[in-house]
Amino acid sequence: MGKSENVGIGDLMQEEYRWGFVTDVEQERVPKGLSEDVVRLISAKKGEPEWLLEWRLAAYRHWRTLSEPHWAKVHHPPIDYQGIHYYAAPKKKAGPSKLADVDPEILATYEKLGIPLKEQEMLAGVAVDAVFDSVSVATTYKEKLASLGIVFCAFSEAVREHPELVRQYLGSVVPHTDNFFASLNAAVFSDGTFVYVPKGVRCPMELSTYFRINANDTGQFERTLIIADEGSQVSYLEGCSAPRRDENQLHAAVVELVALQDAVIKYSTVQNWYPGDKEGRGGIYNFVTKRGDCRGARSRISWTQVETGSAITWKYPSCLLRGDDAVGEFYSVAVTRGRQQADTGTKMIHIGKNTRSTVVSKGISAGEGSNAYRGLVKVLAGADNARNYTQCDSLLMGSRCAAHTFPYLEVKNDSAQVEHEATTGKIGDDQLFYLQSRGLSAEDAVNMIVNGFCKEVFKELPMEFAVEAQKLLAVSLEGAVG
Amino acid sequence: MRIAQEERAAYLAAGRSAMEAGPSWLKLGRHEALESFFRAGFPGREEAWKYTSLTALEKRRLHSPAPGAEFLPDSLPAGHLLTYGNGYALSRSTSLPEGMLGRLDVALAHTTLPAAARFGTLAGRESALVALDTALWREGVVLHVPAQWRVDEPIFIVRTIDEDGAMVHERSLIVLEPGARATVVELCNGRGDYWRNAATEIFVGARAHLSYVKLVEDGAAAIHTGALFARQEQDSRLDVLSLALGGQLTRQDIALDLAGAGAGATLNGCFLAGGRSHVDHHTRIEHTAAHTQSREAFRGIAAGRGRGVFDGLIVVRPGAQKADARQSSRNLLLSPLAEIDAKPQLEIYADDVKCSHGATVGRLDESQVFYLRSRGIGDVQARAMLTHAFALEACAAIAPGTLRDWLTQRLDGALDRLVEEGRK
Repeated sequence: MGKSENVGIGDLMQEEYRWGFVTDVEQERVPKGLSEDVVRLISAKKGEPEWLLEWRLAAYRHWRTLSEPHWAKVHHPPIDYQGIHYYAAPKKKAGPSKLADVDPEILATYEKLGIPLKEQEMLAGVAVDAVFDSVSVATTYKEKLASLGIVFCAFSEAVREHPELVRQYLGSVVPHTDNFFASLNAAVFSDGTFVYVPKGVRCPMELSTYFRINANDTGQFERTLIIADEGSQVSYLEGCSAPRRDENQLHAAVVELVALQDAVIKYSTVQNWYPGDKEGRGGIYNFVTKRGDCRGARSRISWTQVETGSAITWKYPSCLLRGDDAVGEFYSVAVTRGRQQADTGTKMIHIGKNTRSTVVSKGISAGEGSNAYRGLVKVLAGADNARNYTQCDSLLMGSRCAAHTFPYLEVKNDSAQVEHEATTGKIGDDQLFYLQSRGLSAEDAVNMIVNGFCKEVFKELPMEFAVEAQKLLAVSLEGAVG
Repeated sequence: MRIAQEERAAYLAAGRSAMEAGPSWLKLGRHEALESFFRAGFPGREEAWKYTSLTALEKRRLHSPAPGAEFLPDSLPAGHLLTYGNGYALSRSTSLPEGMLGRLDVALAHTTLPAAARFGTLAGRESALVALDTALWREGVVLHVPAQWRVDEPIFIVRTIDEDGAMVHERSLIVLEPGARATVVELCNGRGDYWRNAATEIFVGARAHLSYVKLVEDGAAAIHTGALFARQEQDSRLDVLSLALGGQLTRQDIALDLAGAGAGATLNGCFLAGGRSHVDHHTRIEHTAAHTQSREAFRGIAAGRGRGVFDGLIVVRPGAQKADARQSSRNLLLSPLAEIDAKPQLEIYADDVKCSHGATVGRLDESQVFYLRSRGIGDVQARAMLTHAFALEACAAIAPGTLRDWLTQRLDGALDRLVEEGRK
């Protein structure tokens, strides 16, 4: 409880991790550790209905029977699950309902991150549901969206205002028994984002959430649930960054997407959590379960991710292609440098007929970074004429980095067509020489080649994100080639 | 899973005569290996056995058979020939001296032979099945080619098993000294519901060149688990071809280590999985030294309720700069209930490398079928032609000549039967 201890705005480390400042806000925390009592406490603090508490408790009980998975190609010291605060929220003053009521310190934090809420309100186009640690502090554009029947709010608010929707869809894509980290999330999730787009509505603006881990020693367990009803369309942006800390912090989020008949969901992420310092101290453990369910015919889910941060990333945004003619897409750029480790990829499960999926993954390893693509393409017996194309390329920079590719192809239908290809290599000396002979500095030449390498993924991102992603990449790879 | 106490006695009884022969270091090694098999038990839930289950094997009552009869396939090309029946050496027809090509147990009894020192250094106790083989193999095969020797004609080792419920553990040791050349074909055939467990160790010295073919034509009820380990020195060359054309359950583990700078390897394979059969290839190519090159191409065809598995890993070790690796796994499904699981993998710890892999699973390309039909070729024949062409790519690594022609014939024959089945 009380004030967070270290205040370090503007000091030493700015260069290495520009977003590594701590906001001095009064915090409300539950004691360290996890037990049924903590689960009950979190639920009580949020004033949740009985059914949700029961769901959390079922998840907690199931979680206790599980052990932490170790198959991913990452190494880290054991995580002490009893040493984490499972809930932290900025102390309520009066309950901010308008932007003006929000703690100015928090607003200042967002400004440093480059997403001034006020400006965005005026600039139009992006509605922001900002999650500060665990509680959503400000939601803009709600009225405009509400007039179309779109629900875009904090998860806890959705539980209060739209319990029937939450109850119908919560856990229907990622059940509370899904895996170790998803069960943990189900037990202790504190807040997140909820989106519901009604039948036939095309969301007029990009929805966006800026997640931010702030308090010391707190895991962040947010939960996102997006439902696109029949014939609707929505594009959702998620951005993350976190202040620097020496201790590793656990981030175990769950994202569930449901696309009903003819619906389209586009989900974009730029992840820039704190990656730890050069020696591999500190940094976020990003163990995330993301899954989309193309439940209806002709539905479509598209994942785009740019992963530049986190000490460890463990993340496989997946698509269950259940409806006939459903389409799943996955576009990813993952950068590891320093001692960062990433084990990321996707699962495309073809269940319906004529389902199609595309996977494009670009991994960049620099320094001592380790980058693994792990993906599954599964065609079930009933998925006639399923089609998959997968491409994963790795770019290596430095003799001590590592790049791995672990694709799984499981095909039980003879009319399926599944293709996978992967390449690994470094930037060619001839390419660098050519660009430098045209007057580019070595650094610019590398940047240009890397951007070209990632272009297929960047073009899937919405405009503002694409620009941010390119900048992030340039910053991430500064000094990686010499 | 550990082997239960009461079952251990059965293995001990089956292996007694094999384990009590030979020099004391070898006997000690056999007993240690058997212990480690008992502790580990049959592989079960681990990742490497994700798609293949040996429970059918665990349920079988198995025994050590008596020597069986020789069975030679049609029109075997001219060459050196060793035949084995149920694991016992039967005949030997070759001009090569016994010290170069002969029984492994005899060679190991004279530890002064240069090949003996290599025995067991690659195929150790890491895998439970190899450990069991190390404990229970009998007689075995050794090929030792001295420096700068060329063995021009292919060496055929025909291993037949013809007893129901037989359990046969086979062992081969192939050593090519610097600059040597040889071609070896291990042919596995038989009938009955036997279990064949094989382990082969290959050492290719500097600038030596070995072509090695494993041709599996086991009986329709047979289980075959095979492991091949090879280590290559500087500027050596190794071409491996694995043809899996028969058997109920076939599992081949192939591990190549490019340990010397400039070493090159091709690893090709073709497997046919028809009926209810299951064929699984696990390959691992390690680029340990700089300037090493590997080319891997597997073709898989599944029909009926058959299931084919390809799991290929390429590892580039730290410091193996300029490594160049290419892998391809292409698979055809000929019937609605057939299944293919492919897992091509890259693990890379160096930066100045060129590595790529590709994998496909699907049907024949309809536009190719259409093209042939537009030239007046019937649908059935067009499909058969394309399927044959698809499979034959695997044989391309073998030098043209009588051996390649003969292997192509064997493959064609098996494929005709499979295509026939796929049409039904």
